Amino acid sequence: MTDSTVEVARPPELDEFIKENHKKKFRFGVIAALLCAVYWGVWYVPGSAIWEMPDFLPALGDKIAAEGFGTDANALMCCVLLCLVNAIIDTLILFIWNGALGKIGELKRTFVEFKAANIYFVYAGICGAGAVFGTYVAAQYLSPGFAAVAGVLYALVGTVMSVLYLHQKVTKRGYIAIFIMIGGAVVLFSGTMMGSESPNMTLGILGGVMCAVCWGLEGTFAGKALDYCEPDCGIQLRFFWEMVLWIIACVVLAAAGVPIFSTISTVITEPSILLVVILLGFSFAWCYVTWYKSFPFIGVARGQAVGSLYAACSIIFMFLFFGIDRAIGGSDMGHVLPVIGGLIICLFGSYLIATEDAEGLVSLKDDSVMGGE
Amino acid sequence: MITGAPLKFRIMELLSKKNMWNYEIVDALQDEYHHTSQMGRDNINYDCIEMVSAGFSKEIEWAIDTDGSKFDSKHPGRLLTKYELTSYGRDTLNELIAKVRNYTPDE
Repeated sequence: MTDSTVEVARPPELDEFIKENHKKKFRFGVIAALLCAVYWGVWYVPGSAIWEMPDFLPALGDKIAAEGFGTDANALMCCVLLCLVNAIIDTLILFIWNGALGKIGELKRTFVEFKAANIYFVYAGICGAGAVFGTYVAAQYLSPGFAAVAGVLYALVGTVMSVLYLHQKVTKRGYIAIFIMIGGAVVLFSGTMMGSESPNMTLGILGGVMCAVCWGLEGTFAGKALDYCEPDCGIQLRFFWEMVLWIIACVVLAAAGVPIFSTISTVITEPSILLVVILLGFSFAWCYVTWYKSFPFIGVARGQAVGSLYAACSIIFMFLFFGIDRAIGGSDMGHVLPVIGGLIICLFGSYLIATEDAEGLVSLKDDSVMGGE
Repeated sequence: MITGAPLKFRIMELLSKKNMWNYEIVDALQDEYHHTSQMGRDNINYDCIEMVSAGFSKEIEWAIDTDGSKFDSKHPGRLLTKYELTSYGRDTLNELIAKVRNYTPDE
């Protein structure tokens, strides 16, 4: 550097400055993933309340039942409509978000480069749709606790895929932390799963598997595209494609005689439903924004592992808004102790990730890809 | 030259020609991408940082912008970084060039 306006500091000071910048970058990624966990946890509050708005999903269930469809079909159609509404509100909120950040131009550029960029968000949207649908099905047919545990296992799928497909670096400490956090979430919900009964266990388990596999795969496709696209634009496109997918699904169902759109107007006409839908959209959109922002800084495996703290956050928010019985299934020691144990294990796992050596993670790519560079 | 593509595509293309400082990349792209505000300039810089994580580029030199004249006059003392495209970044750029809608080879 020869320019007089830029002064090269003494090497030790500069070294410290560089290290501090790398740490700052890593810290930003961890904080983004933590915020994702908080927003994801918050999402369970409007996500539960929406099922209790009599004019929306319960009314849809009644109308579908009146058409002669069975109980399972009835519940699945309600999940489909909720997925559609969720995708529409998220797409709208993220469009406003991108406008406020001045990224509409970049959004357009990413959209039109279909083969080079947008296609990965189509894949992410399809996987995301499967994951959201799976989580609703698992929650309906088994328990919200089972759905949350199944969801947490996405970090396992995401870790395997980020190493095999994205060739991202995961240190021994990273692996240990990821497994500890997944284990913590399983312990956390173990009390809620005791003695739960299901009208259709197979459908519930299938929903759980969809949830874990699809969210893991979504993170992988998103991670691939985010290497050369803006996270804010990427997440907008991912929700756009999910919305397109659900519109197609709902139109096909409507054509088949299912009155799927019969109560959708209440989202606009009933202020209380509108408010819950907006809260649903804000919490989910923000959760995704922070999730996608964490990937370029700490990698898909770490981002998903820290994001899996949503399980702990969901219990906290459900407890605050709906009481202990709704949050963990009961107030006896059999329910409370696993939650306390799970929270401690999760905290230990996040501590291991947050204190990982940032210098080794300046580049997240594995040496096999970088060729020792 | 790639035109009308996401910002990171162009950053890779610039780095494929020569190693550059972050403020040089920002100066070269801010008009093309209408990112002339401080927030826009920060966005370009942010993309440069993300590309190191992705393994497309690596940091090869550092300096401190003591008087803020290079990057941000309101916040002097920022770290300036010089980047080099990695071989993985070069391979990725070639893959992207084959897929983008508008690419005109340099004469």
